[in-house]
Amino acid sequence: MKIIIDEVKETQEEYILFHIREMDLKVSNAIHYLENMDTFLVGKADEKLYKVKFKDLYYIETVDKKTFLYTNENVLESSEKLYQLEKKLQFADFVRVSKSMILNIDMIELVYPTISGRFEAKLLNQEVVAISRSYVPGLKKKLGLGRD
Amino acid sequence: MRSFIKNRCIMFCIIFSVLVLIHFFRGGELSNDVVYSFIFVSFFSSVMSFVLKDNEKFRARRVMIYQLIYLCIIMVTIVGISCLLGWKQSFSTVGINFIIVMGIYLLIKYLLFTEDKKEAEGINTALKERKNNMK
Repeated sequence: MKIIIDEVKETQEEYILFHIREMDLKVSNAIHYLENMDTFLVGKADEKLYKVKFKDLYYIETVDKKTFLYTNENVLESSEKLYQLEKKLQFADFVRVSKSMILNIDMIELVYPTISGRFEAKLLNQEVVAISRSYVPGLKKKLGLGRD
Repeated sequence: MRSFIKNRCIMFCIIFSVLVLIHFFRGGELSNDVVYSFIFVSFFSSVMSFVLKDNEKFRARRVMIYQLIYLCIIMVTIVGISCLLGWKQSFSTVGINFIIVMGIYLLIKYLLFTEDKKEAEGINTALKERKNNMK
């Protein structure tokens, strides 16, 4: 099977396109591998460990030196530090929005400024989280806007 | 650090320009003392604005209290400079100065908020485009 690799810009979304005659075991294995390849984090709740897919995560927050993974239904504790998770998620659709939070960009419904001079993000589950001014350039960069 | 200095410089320019304009429209003369006092107040106000620097852990109420403290510091500076330069200070003068300080403060707040709104709109547009591309 011929393999063609095209490099895309950092701001563009990465995708894989298969041109196949029919779905066979080799291709379905490849798809299965790609779908499950490092796209989840492990969190603990009620002394049980759970896999949380990146796409199900709303945000990750540090509270009292403990790191928590927030999904729509659950809050799971992670054994990793925020900076370690930030490194792990650097190529995924996550961005640091404050000293204590990493946010899934796909979960942002809209961003707005407040009178007190802050930015806030309304998430798809209607929760509101604060975005620190100093991390706004990072968010813009991730979205392909701004210089730095 | 660069953006901090840049923002302080912008703030200095806005405050100084507004002070000169107000003084001009009130028919005052721009003597050396007046210019120096305007420069000092503008510089001090822009430098002291670190008080307003966002701390993620602060609640909105605490931020508002810091903003009030900042305004008080500016008012005390103005009264202090006026006393040093031997300018007469009546209640009405202090009241007018307070109104001017509040006016400049609200103007800067408005300008910053407008700028933030534009920035947020840009982000929201990019988020929308991103969602459309993913469909």
